[in-house]
Amino acid sequence: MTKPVFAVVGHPNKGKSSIVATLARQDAVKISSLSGTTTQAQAFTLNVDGQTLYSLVDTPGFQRPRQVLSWLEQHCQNASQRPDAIRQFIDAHQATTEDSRFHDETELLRPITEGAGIIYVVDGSVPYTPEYEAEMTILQWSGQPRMALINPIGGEQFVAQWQQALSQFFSVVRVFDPMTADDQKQVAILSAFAELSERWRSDLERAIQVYSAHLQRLRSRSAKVIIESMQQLLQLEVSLPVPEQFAETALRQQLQQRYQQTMRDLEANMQRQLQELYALNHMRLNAQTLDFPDMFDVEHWYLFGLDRQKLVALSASAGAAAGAVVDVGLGGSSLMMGALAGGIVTGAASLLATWKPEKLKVKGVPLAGKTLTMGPVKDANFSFVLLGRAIDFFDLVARRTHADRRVVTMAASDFKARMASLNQVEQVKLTRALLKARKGLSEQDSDQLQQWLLQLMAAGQQ
Amino acid sequence: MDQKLTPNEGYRYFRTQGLSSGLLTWLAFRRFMARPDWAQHMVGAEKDDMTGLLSHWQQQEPQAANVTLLLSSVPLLGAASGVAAMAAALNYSGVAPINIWVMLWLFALGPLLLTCLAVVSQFFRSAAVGLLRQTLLHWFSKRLQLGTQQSASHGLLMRYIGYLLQWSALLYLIAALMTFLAFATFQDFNFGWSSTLIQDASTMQQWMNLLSAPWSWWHQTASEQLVSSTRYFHGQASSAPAMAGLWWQTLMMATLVYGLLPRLMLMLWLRYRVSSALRRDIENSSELTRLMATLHQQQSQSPLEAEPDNATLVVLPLNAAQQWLIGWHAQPNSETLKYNLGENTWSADEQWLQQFQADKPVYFVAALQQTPTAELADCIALVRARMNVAGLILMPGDYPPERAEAQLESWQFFASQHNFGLFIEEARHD
Repeated sequence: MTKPVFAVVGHPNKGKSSIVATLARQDAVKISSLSGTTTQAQAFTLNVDGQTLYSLVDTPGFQRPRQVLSWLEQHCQNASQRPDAIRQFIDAHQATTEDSRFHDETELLRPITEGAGIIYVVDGSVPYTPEYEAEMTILQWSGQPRMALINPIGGEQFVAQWQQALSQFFSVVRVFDPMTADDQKQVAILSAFAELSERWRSDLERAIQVYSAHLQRLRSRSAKVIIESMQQLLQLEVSLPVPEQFAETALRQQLQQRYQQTMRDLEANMQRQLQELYALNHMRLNAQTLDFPDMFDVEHWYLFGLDRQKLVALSASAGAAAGAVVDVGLGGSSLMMGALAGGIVTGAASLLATWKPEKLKVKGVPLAGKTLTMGPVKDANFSFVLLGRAIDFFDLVARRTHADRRVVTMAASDFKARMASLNQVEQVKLTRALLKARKGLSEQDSDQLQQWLLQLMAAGQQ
Repeated sequence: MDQKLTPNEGYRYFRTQGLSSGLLTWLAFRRFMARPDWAQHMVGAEKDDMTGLLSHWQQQEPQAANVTLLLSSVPLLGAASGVAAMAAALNYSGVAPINIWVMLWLFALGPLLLTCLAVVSQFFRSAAVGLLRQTLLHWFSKRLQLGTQQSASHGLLMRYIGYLLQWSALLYLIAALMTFLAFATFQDFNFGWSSTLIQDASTMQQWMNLLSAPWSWWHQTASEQLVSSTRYFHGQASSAPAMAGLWWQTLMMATLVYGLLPRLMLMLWLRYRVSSALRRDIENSSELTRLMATLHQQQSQSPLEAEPDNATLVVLPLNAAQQWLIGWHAQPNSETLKYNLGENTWSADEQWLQQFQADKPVYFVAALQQTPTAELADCIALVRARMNVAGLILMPGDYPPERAEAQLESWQFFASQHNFGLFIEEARHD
C-alpha cells in the first residue's frame, strides 16, 4: 500500500513551499518571496529513520483558474463526469515545455488525478475575494479528499472570514503558520490529515506516533551530542613546541590563541552536528551578537553560567558529596570529616577560580625543545557557561521550522531559571558530574547527565 | 526499501564484520562524521540502503590494517604467555618432581581467583584495575587516532578493553593446555606434592576430593594410592613412582573446570556486553540520523531564479479624469474604475477587453497585496492587441512593510517579464 500523498495547491505566493518545507522537514525546498518560484510539481517525503511517513507534493500556483474552469464546464455535462474532465484537461494540455499555456495547472492537477489528497493554502492576512472560488471549484470537481490551511503570512486579520468561506468547500480547515509552528502544532496538522481520508487514517495515525517518537529521540541524541562535545571541551589540552629562539610572551599568547580557537572550533562542530540532526543544514547563523558573545568574553559569562554565590555553594555541596563517599568507604570512622574536607576544598577552589576566571593556566616553563601546554580549564563556572551556550543553541535549532530562512541571531536565555527546574539534590549532582567531566565520565554518569540535560532543555521550551 | 535505512540496519552492517572489526569500523565512522566536510565524500552514494551508504563510505575511508594487527597482538600476547608459563612450569630436571600446587595455582586456582576479581571489578572500580584500563584506553585511542573523539568513545572502549583482556587470559589457558599436551605426548613428567601444613596423605586426599568434586561423578582422578605415593620432601631424594604421571588428569580437569570454563563464561558475558554497548551506541548516537537526514534532503527542481529589481517606483496617483482605469480584483464599487476584472467569468472579462474603447491612456490598477498571475498577463495582452497599455498602478493599502517589500518584488518581476511600466499610487511609508 502506498504511503499517503498530499498535493499542496493554491494561489501563487501563499506559502505552499513553506508548508511543504516545514511538514516534510526539508530546508532545501526553494522558498522565495517571488511569485511563481515553484515551476514543477515535486514530491517531498518526510523520512524518519529510514521510514517514509508521507509525501507532500509542492506545486506551482494557479495562474489561469477561471479559464481552466471554463474549459472544464464546456467538457462536462454532469457531476459524475467532473473528475474525468480534469483528466481530459491534463491530457489535452500536457506539454513538454514550460511555455504551455496551462503548464502550471497541469502540474498541480496531475498528482491529484493520481490519487493525492488536497491541501489548499490561502493567506489569512488578506481579505477573502471571489477570485479564489474558481480554484476551489476546480479542486472540488476532482472528488479527492481535501482540506484547507490558512497561512497567516502577515497576520490573522481575515482568518475568520476565510474560515467561513473555506468551510463550504473543504471538510477540514485549519490555521497553520509554517514559519512558527512548533512540534505540537505540526502533529496537530498531521491529525487533521488523518481526518481527511479513511484510506490513510491508520497510516497517518501511525505516522504521528513514529514522528512523535522521532522528536523524542532527536532530543536524546542532541543531549548526547552536547555531553560528548562538553567532555571534549572540558578535557582539551593544546600544546606548542618551544622553538630554539622564542619570546615568552609571544609564545604564551600564541598558545592561548590556538587553545581558544580550538575550543571555538569544537563548539562550532557541536552546533553543526545539532543542525544536521534536525536537518537544518542550510540554517545561517549570526553567531556573535551582544546577546550571545564569544565563549571567552568573560565579562558576559553571567549570561550563561551561574553567579558566584550559587556556584560556590553548589561546588561546595558537590565536593561534600564526594567526601561523603570517602566516609562511607571508611565505615563512618572518619566522622564525616571526608565530607567536610571535600566541601571546604571544592568550595575554596571554586572561590579562587571565580576570583580570576579568565586565568587559563599554562603548564610548564617554556624551554627550547620542550612543549608548552594549555588547558584544561579548571574554572567550574566555565562548565556551566558551555552548558548554557549549548542548551541555548539547541533551543534555537529545536524551535526553528524548516521554512524559516531568516539568518538566526543567537541570544542567551536565563540559565539560572533553567537550573531551578532541577531540585537542589539534582543541582548538586549535576555540578559534580560537570566537575567530573574534566577527567572523563563513566557510562552511568553520562546517562544520568543526559537525563538532567533533557530536563534543562525541556525547561526552556515551556 | 524503508526497512533498509533504519539504525538497526546500521548496527547489522557493523556487526557482521565481527565484534572487533565492527567496533573499530564504527569508531572510524564516528570520526568521519565528526568532520565538517563529511557530506562531500558521500556524493554518489546509494541513498535507499544503509548497507550501500556505509559501504560507499568504507570504500573511501579504508581502515589502517596495522590497527587490527595491533589489536590482535593483545590476545596473542596472552597465548604466548600461556606457552611460556607452561613450558617454564614443566621445566623438569628429571630429579625433583613437578609440584602440582605450582601447576594448580598457575593454571587453575590462580586464574579462578583472577576471574572472580575481574567479575567484581566490573561492578566496583579499584585503583589498580582502573589504572590498567586507563593506560590501555590511552594507548588504544592513540592508535585509533581518536583525538578529541576519545571521550565520546570512552565507555565503549573500556568495555572492549575489558573483553580483550579476558580473551587474552582465555588464550593464555588454551595455549597452556595445548603446550602441556604437546609436551606430555613426547615426554614423561613426574608430578608430586609437597607441603609443610598438610601433614598426612589423608588430608591431602580430602583436599583433592574437594578439588575434583565437579567432575568426580564422571571420573575419579586422584586416587588414595596416587596421593600417598607421590608425596615428596625438599632436600630428600625421592623415587618416581610409575603412577606419578597420572596427576596429569587432575591437572587437566582442574585447568578446564577452574581456569578455562569460568574464564570462557566471563569472556562470553563481556562479549555480550560489548555487543550490547555497541548496539546502544549506534542506536543512540547521532551519526546515522545525521547521515540520513543530510543525504535525504531534496533540492527543488528548476525553481525560478531572478535578480531582485531595486528600482524605485514612480508615484502616479489615480486620476479618472486623465486615465482609463481597469481594475484587477480591485475593491468592489470603485467609482474610478471603468471595469473590474475578476468579478465575472473569464468569458465575460475576455469579451469586455476585446470590445471596450478608451479615449485616455489605459492603466491597470491592482492592490499591492494581490499576486500577479498569468491571467492578468492575458488581460494586458488582450488590450495590447488593440491599443497601448500605459502601465499598471499599484495601490499600497494598509500592508505590513516586510510583506509589502516581498509583494513589490513579485510585481516588479512580473512587469519586467511582460514589459510594461509599473507605478505606485502613493509613496510607501516604511
